[in-house]
Amino acid sequence: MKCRLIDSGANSAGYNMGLDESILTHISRGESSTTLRFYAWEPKAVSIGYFQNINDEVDIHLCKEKNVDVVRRVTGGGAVYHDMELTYSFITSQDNLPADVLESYKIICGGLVAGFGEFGVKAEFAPLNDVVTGGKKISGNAQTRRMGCVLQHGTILLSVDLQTMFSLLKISSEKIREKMIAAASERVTSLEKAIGRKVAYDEALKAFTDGFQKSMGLEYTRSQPSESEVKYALNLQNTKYISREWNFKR
Amino acid sequence: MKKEVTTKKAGGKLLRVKVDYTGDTINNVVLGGDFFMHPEEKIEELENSLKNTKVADVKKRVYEVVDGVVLYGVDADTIVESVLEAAK
Repeated sequence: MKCRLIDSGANSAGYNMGLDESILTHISRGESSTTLRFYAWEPKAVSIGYFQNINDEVDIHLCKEKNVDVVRRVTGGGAVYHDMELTYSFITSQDNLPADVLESYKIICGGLVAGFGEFGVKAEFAPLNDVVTGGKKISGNAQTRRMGCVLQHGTILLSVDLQTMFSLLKISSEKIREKMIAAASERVTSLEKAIGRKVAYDEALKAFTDGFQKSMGLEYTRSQPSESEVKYALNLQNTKYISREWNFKR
Repeated sequence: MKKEVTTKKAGGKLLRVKVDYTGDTINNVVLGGDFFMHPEEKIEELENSLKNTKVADVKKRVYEVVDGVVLYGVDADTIVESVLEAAK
């Protein structure tokens, strides 16, 4: 499959979500083509799933204090703390993927499994939307289908700071928080923990670029978002993704 | 009366139901959680369909709206059970 490969680097939560939606809209209109995008978050951010209530899930005041962005995604799933990670989005016409949502998750997550394999990490797809290694989650993913397109985005955890994560995500009491941190460290891992050394963004980018190529048979054209995509993304950032109306919608 | 019920079945995702009801009539429902629904906008249709609904009609309304909707991590039965639990 021919695929545009974009590394858009680190941007704010509102812009990151705006660009994902912008690329989907442009593909839907026939103005862009299948795209694999890698990115990071600056500042750090928490994203919540479409069906979540921001006040139920996130300590907004602490996020503001720590300069952590908060954004609602268009995709379902849970609250995610975006810090030391490589994030990806794969956006294509629905014609290019099975109609079955689970099957399409498996195909796209196959790219992640291959990417982890580049580091010698034996990972596997865990339905519906996780990639695990040694029984521990190392990637979470979320998909939406709209305007004749599929957008799947997800995290590749390079390292994980559970203390900060559990301070920003709402937990009902200290006792439960400590238990959850201990339990989470048994259920969640990172590339750094898996291979015993830090992995920088650029090294991870190369490995997962190769992984997706091998697993999904992608033929890349390296590119950047078009002027129209950037303009549309900025508009979405400003009118939707940083708006109270959107983020506090539910 | 307002009540919230949180459900998470084994192997599933979390469903949080907030119900505002008077007697046997549901005035308003908000459904939330970390599940997946395709298309996502069906959630609003589902909530609207349950507004000003008798408890006895909840199952029928939920099944009507989720017919053809793809759900992961939660199912129609769980939504019905949780809404009815919250409206007790």
